[in-house]
Amino acid sequence: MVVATSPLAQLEGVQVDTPLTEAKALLSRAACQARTRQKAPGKSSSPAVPPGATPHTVNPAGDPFFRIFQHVPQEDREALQALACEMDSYSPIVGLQTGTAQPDCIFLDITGLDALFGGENSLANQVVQFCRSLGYLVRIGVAHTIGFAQALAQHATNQNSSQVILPRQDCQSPEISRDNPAFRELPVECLRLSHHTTETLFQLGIFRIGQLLAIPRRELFSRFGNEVHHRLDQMSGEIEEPIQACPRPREFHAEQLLDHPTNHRETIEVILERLITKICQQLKSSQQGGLQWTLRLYGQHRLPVKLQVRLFAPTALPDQVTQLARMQLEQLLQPERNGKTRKRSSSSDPTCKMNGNRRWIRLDGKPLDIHEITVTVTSSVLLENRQRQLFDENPRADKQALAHLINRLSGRLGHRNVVVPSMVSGNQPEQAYQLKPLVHSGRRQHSKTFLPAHSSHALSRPVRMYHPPRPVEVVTLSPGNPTTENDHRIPSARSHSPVLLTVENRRLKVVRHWGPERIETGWWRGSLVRRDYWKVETGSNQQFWVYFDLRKRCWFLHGEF
Amino acid sequence: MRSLHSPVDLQTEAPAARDPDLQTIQQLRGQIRQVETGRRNDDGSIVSSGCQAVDELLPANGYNRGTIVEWISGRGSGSDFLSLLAAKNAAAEGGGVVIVDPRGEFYPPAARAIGLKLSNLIILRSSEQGPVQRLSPHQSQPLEAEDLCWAMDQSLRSPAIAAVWGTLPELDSAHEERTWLRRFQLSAESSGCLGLFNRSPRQSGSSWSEVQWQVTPQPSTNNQRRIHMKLARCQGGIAGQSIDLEVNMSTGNVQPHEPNRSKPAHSLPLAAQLANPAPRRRSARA
Repeated sequence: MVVATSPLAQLEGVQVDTPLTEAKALLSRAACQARTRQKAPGKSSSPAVPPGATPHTVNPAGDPFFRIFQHVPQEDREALQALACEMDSYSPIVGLQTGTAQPDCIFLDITGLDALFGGENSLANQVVQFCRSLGYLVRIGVAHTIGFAQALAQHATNQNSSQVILPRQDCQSPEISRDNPAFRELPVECLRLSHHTTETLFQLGIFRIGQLLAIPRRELFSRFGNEVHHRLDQMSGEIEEPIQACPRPREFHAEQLLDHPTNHRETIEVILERLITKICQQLKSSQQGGLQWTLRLYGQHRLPVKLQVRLFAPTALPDQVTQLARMQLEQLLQPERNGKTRKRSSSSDPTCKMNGNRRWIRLDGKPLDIHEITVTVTSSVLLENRQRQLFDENPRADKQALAHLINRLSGRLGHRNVVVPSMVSGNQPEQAYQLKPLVHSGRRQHSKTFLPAHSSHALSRPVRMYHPPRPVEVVTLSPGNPTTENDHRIPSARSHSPVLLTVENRRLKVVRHWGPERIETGWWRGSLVRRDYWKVETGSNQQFWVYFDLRKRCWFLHGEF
Repeated sequence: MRSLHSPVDLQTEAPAARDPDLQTIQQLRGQIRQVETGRRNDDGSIVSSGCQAVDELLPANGYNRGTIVEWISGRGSGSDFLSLLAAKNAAAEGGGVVIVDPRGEFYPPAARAIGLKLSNLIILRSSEQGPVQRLSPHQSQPLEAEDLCWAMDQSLRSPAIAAVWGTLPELDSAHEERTWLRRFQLSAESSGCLGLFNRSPRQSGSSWSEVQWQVTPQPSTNNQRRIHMKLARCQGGIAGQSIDLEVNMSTGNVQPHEPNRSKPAHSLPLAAQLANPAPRRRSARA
């Protein structure tokens, strides 16, 4: 199910709650049309290409114009919390929407603050611009209660504007609020009632708050209890509803300003080490360990160079973090190797180079004179201390050593290249598992474990599988009817077993085969997959896994045993 | 005069107690072994290969921890299965297994079917390969051979890792390959980790492994895969020995091949019998 869409995808008909299969079909069709328009003479650009999506990028659905990502609610929540933390420059009290597992609102108490920002309009504008700079599109509602403000942001009729501000004279008292047409025209969904109550109101034909207000309170109470009244009073300001401020994690931050900007690498490394040690002392004193560290090198007249050190397990040991920070710096300054540009730099400027002796930091061939260095722990958790056993401790059970290894591997190879597999449900062999980065914020979530359908046969699946499957020429032989080499496109593979494979221009005679094993996927998986798999043994006794695609009518080599 | 370079002869000699030369040789061999393995940080435990007959070919009755074991074979020859079986046994007493998979071909469900615990695996691969979740394609980071060798070395050096399994990456020069292999051996010795490497026949030049197998697939029977294993290199053991193995494709059991062993009357599972229909059998007989 689709949980969020881009405006461009909405234009193509993809809405929230659209089934994923349907969304993929709509987007594929749109992409086909866009490609046709691109190929048409005189039309070089396509309106279907979203900004930032390049035609060579391919999404999991195989479409180059749209990308589909898996929805991870935990990550959404974490991103919202991070945004709320960033908002503290606009209000001392910032809180998230409560009463829901998936909040999508941030509340700011701006009582008496508008004068500091030049009025409510100006403040709202600044917040919108700030969020836009972080890549978020937001809508802002300003009112005297959080319920009303949320309703204005989410349900106001003027959806084209990024901000809806209730005039002060319309909210001087609860009674005035209730008489306000903007209040009365709001839908009942914005009262934050339970699903059951909202459904009942719909069944009764009550869709607007004005309709609710027309019903005597006693009758509403007898039918719905106190819920509707309570929410109405909260929204109008009859009952006070405070903002529950987000608990701000303690910030661990250290910085150093340099009197004389330098690009000497050793100097910078020494400063980094000193700052990291300082933060580690702060962490230790609060029994915490840093999970994510951000290092910023501010150069003159440049964007800051940002290095991120993500850890598998929290640590407050300066040596470990310094080592990883040095590794990041090394990668940032890695020269071009054999004409290929290194891609793993996390800098805002990926074309970083360094001169031959690696003693001086240079970017774009110019020295990067750094005048300020900051180190911040952006994610920290309580350290778990475990008493070590004196004797007979299995060294392979050392979690700290394992965490250190994963940190180093992820630091050098990139956290996306150090992964852990898990099984998922599905018959399609390449979709029967998924890989997740080990250094990842959501890694502690335990997902449901799926048992593979083929667990009864230890060797029914190859140890090596090709991504994607390689097209292969196969000659088949149906009983009593030998075919020629060109007749490999057969109407039905079930009665035809392979007798000759051509792999990498080498002809391999099939001396034994096992199968076919029919693998089909359900319609809900998107594009239908229907394959007949054969395990074949060649004349040199090598075993391969080939399949006949019943839809494409051709053979593929999929793995080796 | 008996040649000191023909260890095969030693087995057919008289007992050591009666032969002072042999006693001296054994004493010298013990001393050499002590020098060779003095730095090894293993706990003395032995890792089974997954087949008792194979273990018996090795001097320690299995693989020593803190060593490198290599399988030289072509594609689809079954060596991946045998090496993963050893990885499973290495991790039986705890510790992670690092899978070095530069081409993104490793298939985790097969490892799970062999008995490896997926949550204990750490796969190192290029993120542009395979179904990595939550990654946008433009953020892929192809790995280079040097990075992979570094990662293998670091993994072998870690005491928390029971085994490192993978294919040796193609390096630019033989000198570079020799250097890395020596580093792998020293790293494995320092931690007690077992290195299990598959190499193609093209790569079989230099080696610092303690045990090196040459694997040649043999014609299979209906439900048994046959594999010929030759001990190409074995420190402290007798190189040149070989064994024919049978791998049951349903259960994964490995046992030595016995040509004269009687087979049960209906050894084929139902699915396999159906896949080989009667008309074809009749036509084959005709």
